[in-house]
Amino acid sequence: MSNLTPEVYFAPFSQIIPDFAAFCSKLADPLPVHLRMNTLKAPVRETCFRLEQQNILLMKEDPFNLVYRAENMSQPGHLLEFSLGHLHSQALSSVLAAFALGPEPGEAVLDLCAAPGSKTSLLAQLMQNKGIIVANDRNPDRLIPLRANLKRLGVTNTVITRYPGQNFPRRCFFDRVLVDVPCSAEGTLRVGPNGTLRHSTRSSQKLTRLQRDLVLVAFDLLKVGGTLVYSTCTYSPGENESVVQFLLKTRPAKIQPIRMELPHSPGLQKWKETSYDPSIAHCWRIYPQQIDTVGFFMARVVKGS
Amino acid sequence: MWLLTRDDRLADVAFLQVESVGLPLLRWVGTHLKPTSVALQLLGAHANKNIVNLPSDQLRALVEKKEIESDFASTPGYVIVASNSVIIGCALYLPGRLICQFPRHMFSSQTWDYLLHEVYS
Repeated sequence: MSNLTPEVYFAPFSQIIPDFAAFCSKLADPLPVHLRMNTLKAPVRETCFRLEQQNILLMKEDPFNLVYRAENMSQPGHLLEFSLGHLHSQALSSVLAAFALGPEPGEAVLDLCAAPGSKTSLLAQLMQNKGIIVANDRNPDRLIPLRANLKRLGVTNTVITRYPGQNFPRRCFFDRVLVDVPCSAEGTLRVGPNGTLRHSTRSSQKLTRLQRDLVLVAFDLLKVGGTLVYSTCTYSPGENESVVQFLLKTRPAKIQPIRMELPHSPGLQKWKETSYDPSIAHCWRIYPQQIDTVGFFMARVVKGS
Repeated sequence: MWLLTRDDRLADVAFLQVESVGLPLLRWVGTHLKPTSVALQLLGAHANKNIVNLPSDQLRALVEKKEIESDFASTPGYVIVASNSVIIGCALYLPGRLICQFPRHMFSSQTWDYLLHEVYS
């Protein structure tokens, strides 16, 4: 663990991050609390009303009427509405990955790296608990919060499995697959009280290899015409565009535009010596100075024949 | 006993080594089936009897003391606990006593700090 200022830590990305000074400055703010209303348990309006009665100031954040920023609270886990599963505390960017996948009620969906279940439970919500979700995570410790969250949020269409993602059996095929891979998580970094970022990881070759393995398995588990979302909470092109480029080169994959009206930057076309496929510009990079949330990357991919 | 959405494609994934499915619905307690609180939160709105409505102070007492004394217009057995039209979970009603059956860590001590008296009373 070492401490660096944002300007120093993110210097390698200063040419690719738009308005780098604003980016560094934004990292001095604490991460906002976002509440995603869970319509499997209670109507949005009712939950908002109850929160406002408790003097919690809510600001609508996403174009889907589900996510609100809670201005004056830090621990949503203590809310009765949280205990009852009427809401879930979830970063806005994490919500967007589930929306980008866009599951329909009745479909078969795989969440390959599902714990702790925030995105899985939103997928179930978007599917109105209809169809089937296989929520997989290799780590037994992380299955505990996964199970607890799905239970609390009233999810009834999920089967939980515990395979290493890269070894998930290629014997069943899905309409949609979400692969939110383990990453260096640089998008979650914010400045601490001493003015520096607390961080312990950097993008590594080992991580990149795992991400490539996972994206291939995720793609292979799709039906022809099915949709995959690959996402990370990091800025490193090696974990983002390079992984998507690898997929495009090795499989019949096609990048699709993500149709949401929110500020973001396009996927990179070049990083150091590497040029990327022009369609990678359809990927989304989300920086905190654009949307005040965890920094994020996502790619929506369709499987060709 | 678990609540799992019916879907024909469950057969396609039946070969997977499954850790758990769906939502816990009922548990055997001795010779009786006890509904889980999470299942009641999801399905309890369809119930038309064996519902006990508690004001917020009694709900808090039930959570903190695990049991409250009172007579409710209900037959002995498992009941749905609601407060201010919100279903909270399961309790066991015995004549003169209501015994909490909520999951152990469902509420934190700070939960009550957020609740305004006017809202949950």
